[in-house]
Amino acid sequence: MVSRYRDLFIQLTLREIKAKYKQSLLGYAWVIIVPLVNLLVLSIVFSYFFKVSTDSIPYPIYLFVALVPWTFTANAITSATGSISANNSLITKVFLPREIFPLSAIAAKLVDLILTALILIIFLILFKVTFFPTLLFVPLIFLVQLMFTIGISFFFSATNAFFRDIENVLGVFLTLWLYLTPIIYSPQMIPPNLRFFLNFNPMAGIVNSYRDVILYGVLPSFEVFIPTVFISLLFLVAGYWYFKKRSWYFADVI
Amino acid sequence: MLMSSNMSNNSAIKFNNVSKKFRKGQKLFLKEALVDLFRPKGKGDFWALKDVSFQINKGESVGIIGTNGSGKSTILKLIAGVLKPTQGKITVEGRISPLIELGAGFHPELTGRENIYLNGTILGLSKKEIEEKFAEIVEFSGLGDFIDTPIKHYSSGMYMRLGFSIAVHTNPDILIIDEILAVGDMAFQNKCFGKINQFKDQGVTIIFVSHSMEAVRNVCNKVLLIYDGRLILTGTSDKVITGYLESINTQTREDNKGLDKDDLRRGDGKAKIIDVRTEDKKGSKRNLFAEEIIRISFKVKFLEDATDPIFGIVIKTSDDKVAMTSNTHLLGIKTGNFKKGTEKIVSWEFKNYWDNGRYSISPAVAYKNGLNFYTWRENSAFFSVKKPYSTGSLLNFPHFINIK
Repeated sequence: MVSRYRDLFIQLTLREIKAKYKQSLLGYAWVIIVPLVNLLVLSIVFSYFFKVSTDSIPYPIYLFVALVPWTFTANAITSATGSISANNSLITKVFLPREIFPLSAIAAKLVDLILTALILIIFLILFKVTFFPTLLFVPLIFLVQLMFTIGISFFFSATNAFFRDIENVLGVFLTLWLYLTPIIYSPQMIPPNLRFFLNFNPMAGIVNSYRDVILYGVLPSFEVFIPTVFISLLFLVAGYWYFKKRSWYFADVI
Repeated sequence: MLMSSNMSNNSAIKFNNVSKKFRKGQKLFLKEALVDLFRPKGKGDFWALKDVSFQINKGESVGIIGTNGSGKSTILKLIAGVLKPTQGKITVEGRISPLIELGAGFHPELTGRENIYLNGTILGLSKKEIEEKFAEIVEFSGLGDFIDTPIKHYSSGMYMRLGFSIAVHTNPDILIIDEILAVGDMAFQNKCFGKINQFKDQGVTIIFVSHSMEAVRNVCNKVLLIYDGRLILTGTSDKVITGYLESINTQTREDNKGLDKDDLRRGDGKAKIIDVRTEDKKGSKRNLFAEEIIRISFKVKFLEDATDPIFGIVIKTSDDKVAMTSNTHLLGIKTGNFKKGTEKIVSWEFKNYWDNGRYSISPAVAYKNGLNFYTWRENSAFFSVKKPYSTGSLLNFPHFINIK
């Protein structure tokens, strides 16, 4: 049973990956072009015009270290949100554990993440950033990020099966969220009395932690990391529970 | 899928007082849902199935028949475990292979080979099992070298051969077949029926849904007749099919009224057939024909953008034999693109070569692939033919007799 769904999961993920590759002229080049253009535009705007202060770290690097994981989460959520409606012919015909659809949509985005992470590594080398031993904590932070991404994707994809509004609102929501997260600016720029609210935004804790271990060679502070882990786990559990409950009615409406 | 260990060994599928309620209309947008909040509770609900009980034993071949919207698909979806009953209990034992809509999950950009792996795992095979059966699947499909071509280049026949081939190689305990043999050439249809018979001999339980009474009679030894969400007749194929055809003929007398009342028909509903009518060659509405020219037309409204849809009709006699099929694909007509909201009138014009009798019209709008339907309205209009004399056969056309 488990191996059956494992194979299905792999096939569905491969379908996403291959289809994307085949449908466009430049194929996977887009995965690299889009974040690079974003990086370029944001770097110019925020290091020349607005002058975001990032101490000793070059701004493009400071930005890219946060932009790469953010892009993964944003794209994974977008892709997962549409996954139930995109697979409606399957969902209304074949009995399958429905969580397999958002999960494979997220898994397919891992390819994009790996490609952009490679570009990031090249940038780190070009800008002569020291490689710290704390880099070993990157996988742990990524695990937390993945839990959070999956959790929130469960909420959005299950709700989108009933209300297609979610798909439309998502773009605006993600843009807003990007600006509410210290990605293009540093957390120090937030007035101290408002910084408390960052605790409720797991993406803030996640990108800060990445910066700590990659750029500064220090471990993330516990008062930031622990709430982030906790909230991410909460999202995962609650999201799965909600998804499971709603999934019984997917075939009724789509 | 509900599994139970304490059921009798003989039963494959058991429905105990099963009812299924749907909310009418699909509230896919928040606005509609908000409007709905202020509506009295329960209004707008409808029961797709009401208190249905039956048992299908292992190795039986059971047909499910009934008009469109009667609840057949709901039963299939409940058996497949895709829907959950609102009331009652369903027990299913064994591996189900749903042959509903062949090629569900096919991706047009991927090759036949890639789609075999994709579709095979969807239907419950492991990668290893597919590898073992791969050659067999390709062989049965007869696709040969095309297996490495993206399936968007396949003809609808090839597409469906591949789908059927994968589905029959899943070694199911229960095989669900929903009107899959409607397309495809004769030779392949025979091959499919051969395979179905082979499954029957192996003791596979078969659930068969079709509008072709001939096919139901060939495949099934037991038939369930569903009407308006209720199971109204169960028994041998002959008994139930006869009962069904009689009930249809009675209904026919109500003629072409209430066309829109029952719009829950086959297809995804992204286009709607509004007005099906028969006319004489001058274009006036007419239901009785003696003379030469019959014109059949329907109005179609697209609720989504459509690319190259296929427009078609099936004309059937009162005993459910096909008198004619025609569609734009058969005639090699490219229909072009239609924007959301477009309304078009599609009409057929031909000489009336049929004999006296009552004929039904089933119009349909299909996707470019010829497999999936926007809409398909079974028996949605009727007309009669009355000629000076009857030949007692299907046809009655002008001819000469020479005596020399």
